[in-house]
Amino acid sequence: MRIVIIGNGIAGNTAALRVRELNPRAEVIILSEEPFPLYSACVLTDYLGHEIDRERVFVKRLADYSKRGIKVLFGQKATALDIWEREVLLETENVAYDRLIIATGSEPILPPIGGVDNRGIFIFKSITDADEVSQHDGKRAVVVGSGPIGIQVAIALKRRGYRVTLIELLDHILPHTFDQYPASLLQNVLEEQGIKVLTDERVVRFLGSGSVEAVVTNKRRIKSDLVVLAVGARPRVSLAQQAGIEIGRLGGIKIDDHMLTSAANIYACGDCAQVKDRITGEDSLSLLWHNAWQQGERAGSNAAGIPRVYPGSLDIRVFNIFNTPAVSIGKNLVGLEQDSVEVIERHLKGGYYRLLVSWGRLAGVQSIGWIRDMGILLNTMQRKDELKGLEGMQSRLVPATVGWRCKLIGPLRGPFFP
Amino acid sequence: MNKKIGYVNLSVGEVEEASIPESLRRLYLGGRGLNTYLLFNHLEPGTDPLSPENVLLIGAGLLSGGPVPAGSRTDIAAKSPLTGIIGDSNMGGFFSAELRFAGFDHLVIKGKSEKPVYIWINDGQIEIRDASRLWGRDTLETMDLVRQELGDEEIKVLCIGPAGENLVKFANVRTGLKNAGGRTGMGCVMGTKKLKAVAVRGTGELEVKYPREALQYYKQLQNQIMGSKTARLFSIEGSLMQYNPTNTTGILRVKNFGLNRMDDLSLTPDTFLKKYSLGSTACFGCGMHCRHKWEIKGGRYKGLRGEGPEYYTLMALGNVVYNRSWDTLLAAQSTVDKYGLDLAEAGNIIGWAMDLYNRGIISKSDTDGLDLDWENSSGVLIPLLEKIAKREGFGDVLADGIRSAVERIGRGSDQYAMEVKGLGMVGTDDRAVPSLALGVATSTRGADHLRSRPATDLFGLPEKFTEKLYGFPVSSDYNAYQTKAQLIHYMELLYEVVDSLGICKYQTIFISPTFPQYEEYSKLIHYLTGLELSVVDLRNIGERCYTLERLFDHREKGIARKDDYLPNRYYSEPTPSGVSKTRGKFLDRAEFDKMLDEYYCLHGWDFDGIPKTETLAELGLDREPSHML
Amino acid sequence: MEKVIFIEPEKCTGCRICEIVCSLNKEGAVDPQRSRIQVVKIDSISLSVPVVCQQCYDAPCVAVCPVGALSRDEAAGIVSHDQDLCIGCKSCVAVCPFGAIGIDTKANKVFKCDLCGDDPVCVKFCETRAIQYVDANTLSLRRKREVVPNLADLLQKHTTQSAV
Repeated sequence: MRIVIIGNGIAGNTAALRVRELNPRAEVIILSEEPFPLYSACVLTDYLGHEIDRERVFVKRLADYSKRGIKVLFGQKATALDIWEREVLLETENVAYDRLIIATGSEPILPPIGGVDNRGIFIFKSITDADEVSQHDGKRAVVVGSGPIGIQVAIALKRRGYRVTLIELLDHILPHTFDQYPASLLQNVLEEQGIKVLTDERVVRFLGSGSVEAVVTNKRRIKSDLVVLAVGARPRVSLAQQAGIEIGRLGGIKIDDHMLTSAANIYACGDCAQVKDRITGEDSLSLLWHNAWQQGERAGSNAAGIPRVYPGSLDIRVFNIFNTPAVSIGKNLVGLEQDSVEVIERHLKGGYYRLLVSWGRLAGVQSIGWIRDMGILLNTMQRKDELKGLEGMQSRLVPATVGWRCKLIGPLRGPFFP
Repeated sequence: MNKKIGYVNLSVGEVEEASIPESLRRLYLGGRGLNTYLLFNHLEPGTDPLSPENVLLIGAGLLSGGPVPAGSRTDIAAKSPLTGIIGDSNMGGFFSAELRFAGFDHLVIKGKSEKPVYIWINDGQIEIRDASRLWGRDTLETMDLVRQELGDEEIKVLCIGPAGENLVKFANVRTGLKNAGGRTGMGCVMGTKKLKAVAVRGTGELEVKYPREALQYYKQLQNQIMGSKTARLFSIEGSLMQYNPTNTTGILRVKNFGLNRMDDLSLTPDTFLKKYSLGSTACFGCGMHCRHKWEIKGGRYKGLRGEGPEYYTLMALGNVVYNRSWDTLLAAQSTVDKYGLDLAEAGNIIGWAMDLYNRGIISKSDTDGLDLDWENSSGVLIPLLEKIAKREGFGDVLADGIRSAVERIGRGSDQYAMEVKGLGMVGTDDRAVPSLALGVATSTRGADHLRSRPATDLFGLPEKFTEKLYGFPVSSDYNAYQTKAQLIHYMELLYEVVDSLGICKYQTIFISPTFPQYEEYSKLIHYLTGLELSVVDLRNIGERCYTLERLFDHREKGIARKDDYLPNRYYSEPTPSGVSKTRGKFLDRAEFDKMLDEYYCLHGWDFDGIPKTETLAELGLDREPSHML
Repeated sequence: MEKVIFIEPEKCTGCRICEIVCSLNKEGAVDPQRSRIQVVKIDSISLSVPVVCQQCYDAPCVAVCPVGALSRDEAAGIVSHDQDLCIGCKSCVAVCPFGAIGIDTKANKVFKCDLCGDDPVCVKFCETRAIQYVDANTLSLRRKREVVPNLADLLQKHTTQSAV
């Protein structure tokens, strides 16, 4: 049996390894447009910011593939899928499959702003992008978009010595991850380190005659010789779409809970797939490393003939904002019904804490400076523990709740008490 | 070995720190020994203990927090407002370990703050903070509030309760749910300084000189201790396991004094274990976990929870006051814990008051209408404790300690006052046991068994065995006077070392002859700190520290031979009950005097119990005060 | 025969000897902050719970590590942490359901229990056997045996009553 995997990201790789573990005799091939072995897109900004060497970005070496008996075909783009003949059409050859796993990942959104084709304006997704930004010679950087990538790129560029301005369309940074108040605390950290943050501002045009010279917003003009666009990413589904595979309403490939697409023998996993949120059950796109990892694992298992259900994605984001750790799990206020939400927040030594309780259950957590106890709250959310009122006992595991007497001892009872 | 000493002046709000020189460690180790040195050096002779000039010392032992059996003790010292001589309290729990992780071994606190404050020590930083929100709160509330304010549940707190704030002379200092540094009124000293608490949090490490050897030896010691039957009993029953044997034998004080055995067996440990105990908990680094957790499941105090009780609780709040109700005893334990009141002194003075009442010497007009009949003990115990803590009415008469209460009441009440040097008598009745009697009579902080008690003297160990244990044979007969002075002298020096190392006495030869003593401590000191101190060196250190305490007592209050006796009735009234060896016994004054002579000789003190000049020179104490720290 | 650390919090007395010996063994000093096992206490309900890595079969920390520094080592029965690959992003700390991964601010890395190479030191020192190192297969059987006597007790009472 031959299993072909399109995409050499973490989803594709985990899928390949899983197939290999479960079926030692199956032929496993990974196809990838990029010529590199598996690397971690998450740590590209650490590389950009001089915190790790370029080689630490790579999680595998080419030899690791053959060691596990996994064949690779790198450096060729997959142009089409023939689901009747069961073939993947590459630039110079066709690859036949018995089962196919699509793990094509996501691509950055390119906003249709005038002047975006000037040199010095980059997206930030692949190691090639990171290399190019590294090699670029500039002094004044503008980062458009304050999502996770935008923030991390801004920090990395500051570390490289750039004057950095960060522009956000909405009224606070990391708008889909943090609420306004915690976001403002993080904004303070950025500003203390010298990054200029502009919120409620829209980029209108890029000025330059070949190379970018300035960024024009609806409020001002900023001199700039380097721009990084980080306004969002979307699933890369053109291959599947052209082949007639059903795409979900959020733009990702539609799959069932066994990672199977609408086409027989074709699975999808990772950033390109549309899944359900493990806690809320809603459709979601969760473009995060650990979700891709788990989806790949499930896809590989199902493709190898061992059926396994994927329990859904988890929205967990961890940041290091200039040595201040910040975590957000689940929803922030924007994603919740306003009437049902109770906000519980507390400043304490070394950090800040915010719990969002919706209909008596923990729906979201945001913390700055405190991260050790977050996994326990994640557990509370997964188990949908009911938080009974504001009396009861304290829990060291959630130090912020001492004094509020919140009955969050639920997590302890799980693993130890029958 | 690289931890600091912090100096806090509450009058001007200044903080300083210094390193502790190794030379001082070689002379005084740490904990109690070094505290005594600091007290002797920093306190002006004749200082009024209630004045801002009194010096409060808090010290971790040299080995506290390390891989040692039960290295969990904290020593608190000052001039005692209760006795006017050395005030020295010792408590378990988790405070000293945390203090060391925070970078400090000793604190010297002077002066007085105008407004209530607390000291906050955090990873090398000492800060004085406002405690007005805490003033008036009980000890448990205080600890919770401090942790909330500073935002960290791992903070360990040493604090006083309302008793300390009201300057009750035997107010204690507290930590955790139940640990207390009791007896000599250190809580009162904190109260005079308007110091509500000391909070500490440390994320640093404790250096160990030879980690591999220390780890291995730690396991060896743990096996040595926990392999014994005594340890196993202790870990199940706690210190309460001493109650039944000592009560049956007839060496417990009952109804103040006079009776030496409780015939009513309502208050036995078995009842406690069956009906109240929820299991065991431990102090830092202790595998014997002798502390109980309890809950009262029905009746008037339903739902009350706490930790303890100890053997001493059963004596002080049980036998001495003739309380036979477990519910009352536990609720009383809870009361003293919250108010920060020492139960040993409180029990002793209440027992005395009840004795007076039952003899018709005082009446309801003295006691605010409370009926102090022995049979009514359960009804009045807690109200009396509260009155003392709040200095209300009759409580105010008692709150200054037994000698002061005797003066206020007069009417021959001194005959029934059981105390030595102003500190309340211990819970045992030592008329039949000369060794215990000598220890209590000569203890440097007043009537106290913890300076020297060899509980093992009651075991009847054969002379061949004791010769190996102590280096000289001790008579296996506990009624005997011979060899007992040597025994007490040996134990005094040993306990001095134990308290200076910060180790809990329950894991020494206090209760079992197979438990650690000098050889083990010498090794532990070497593995943990690198210091080479032989058994002889340690005994010299013990002698030095103990003699310095005696010197302090003599300097401050002229303590001498005349003060080294138990109350007169011990030498004239025979015990009414007990087994054949304990019935009809009282101390022979002539024999006792001979023991005292021998005891002084062993210490190198003169006939009057005052350290001789040669002795001081030998111990290097002729240089004191030397102001080296 | 895989062995696992089995914890019974009802036996824990909160003595923290495990923290002393773990840090002494791993770091050469007594340092509870850098002990791989830590005791969490809730005094109001008299509870002490030793918390240590459970070496999960389906570990969230393995899934979330962006550089593959954490991986399940089936042979050793542990989730192993490669200090050289670790970049100290602390994502694993954030997702562990037990809070069992610690942060070493001096080394800028994380640390976790590795069972001391099949001979856990904490187990050796725990007096009450609140922490044990047991065969994974027999663990389940043991728990059944612990429960069954209670069941037998119940059944006996029930039969006595119906006999009346």
